[in-house]
Amino acid sequence: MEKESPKSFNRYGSKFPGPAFLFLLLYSISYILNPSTGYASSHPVFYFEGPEGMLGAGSEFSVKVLVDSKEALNAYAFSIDYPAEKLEVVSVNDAGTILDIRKDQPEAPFSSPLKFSGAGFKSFSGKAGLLFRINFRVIEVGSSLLTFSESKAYLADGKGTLIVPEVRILKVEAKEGILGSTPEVVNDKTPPSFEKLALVPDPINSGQKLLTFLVKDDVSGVRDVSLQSKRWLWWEEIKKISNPAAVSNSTWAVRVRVSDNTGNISEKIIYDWGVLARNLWPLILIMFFAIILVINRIFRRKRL
Amino acid sequence: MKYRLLFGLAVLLWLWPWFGANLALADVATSTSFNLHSVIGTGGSRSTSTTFNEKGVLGQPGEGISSSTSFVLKGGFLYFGPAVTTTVATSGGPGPSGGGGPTGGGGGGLFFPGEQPLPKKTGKLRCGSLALDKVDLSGDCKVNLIDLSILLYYYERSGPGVAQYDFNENLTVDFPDISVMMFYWSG
Repeated sequence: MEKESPKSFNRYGSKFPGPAFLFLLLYSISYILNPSTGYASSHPVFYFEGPEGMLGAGSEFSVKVLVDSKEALNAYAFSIDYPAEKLEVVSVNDAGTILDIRKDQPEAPFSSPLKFSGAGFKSFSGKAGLLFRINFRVIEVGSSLLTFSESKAYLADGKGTLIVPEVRILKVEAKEGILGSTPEVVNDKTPPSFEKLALVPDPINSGQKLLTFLVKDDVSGVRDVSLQSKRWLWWEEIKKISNPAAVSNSTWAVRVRVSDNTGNISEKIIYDWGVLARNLWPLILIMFFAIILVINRIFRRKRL
Repeated sequence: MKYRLLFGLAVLLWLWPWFGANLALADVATSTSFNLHSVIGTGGSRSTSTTFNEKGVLGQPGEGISSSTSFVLKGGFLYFGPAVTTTVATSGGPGPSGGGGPTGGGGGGLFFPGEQPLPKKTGKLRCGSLALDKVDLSGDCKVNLIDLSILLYYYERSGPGVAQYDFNENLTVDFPDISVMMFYWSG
């Protein structure tokens, strides 16, 4: 009977693999099966941060829409679905977000899905980037799911590279018998500020100019912006606008009013004096020569 | 005599706003392959087509920068900057683009040494609209978040290298350029 080569046996005198090898094998299996142990997603993640615990009927609560990303992003678009029969949107707040430009932002009356899109002057990478804040009210008890649909993000690479983010849902529970709560009242006494406001020529359509503006409210968020313009001597009707608004080339004054979500208002008037001069030039000229003629006649009479 | 002189001066001043101030606003001449604005007898004009945008022509290219998606024309002796390669957008994101001076012309159009000749003019605007042609940066004939993302990458940058992103041609990619893009947003 041949003896087996000693090399066939491990140090414990057994043909089976040693404990060290078994440990390594088990660890590798658990590492692969457990995604939370050190595996990081390369895709950005859109998620919610909402209320903890049970809510009551009539409760108002705030939900933050956040983004985590390892890559630098600068533009975002997403829709949020919620059960309209159980939850009601009270307001949407853009204060303190990473977005400087908002193209789609829901306005009252709100309905599901809520559509958002916007971009930031500075790219964002990191954790918990605030995109929007939504205030809800519970109108019917039960479980409510907040989900993302049509989510997109774009890398800040100058090429408009689309990256589809991972999304997480939020479950909100409301039950009978629990007292309704309201979120912390926002004490905002500061009116919104104008970061930029200007009348610029439209480089594509020379028959109009564009009122371009950037307004911010870092506490309660901007609610709406409205405009009044003047082409002659009176203000025209007020209308709500978004950035930018087109005005006629003969407009010489524009009044812009911004209100935030707590009712504070800021107002600014900008003038295009060149347009006013061009509009009123004939009238000024007539008045000038009429005055000269009158003065001349007066002096003539005095000499006589 | 005095009054006649005064009257003549008054008439001249009266007529100035209609003729003097508006000398630059002459007829717009158009065709399927170019738009010619502000035609003045000395030749100062702005001409555009799907493949070029030429401005300030005074016999030879006037001092200034003219651009399109496929080239940048630096007129005058002030623009001897470093050469920047030009890439012709084919599909998807265009990447940064700029241009040196043109080296040839006529016949098949403008092109640079080493570059592929520009495609034949079809006589139509690339996207069917001058606004889309100018503001669409991604080449998909839409003005949407992709284009805004590209534009924001060049935000607050200056110089001839960012001419195609500078819609109001003030040599800087700034907030009015973003506003122009948002005005012509097609979604």
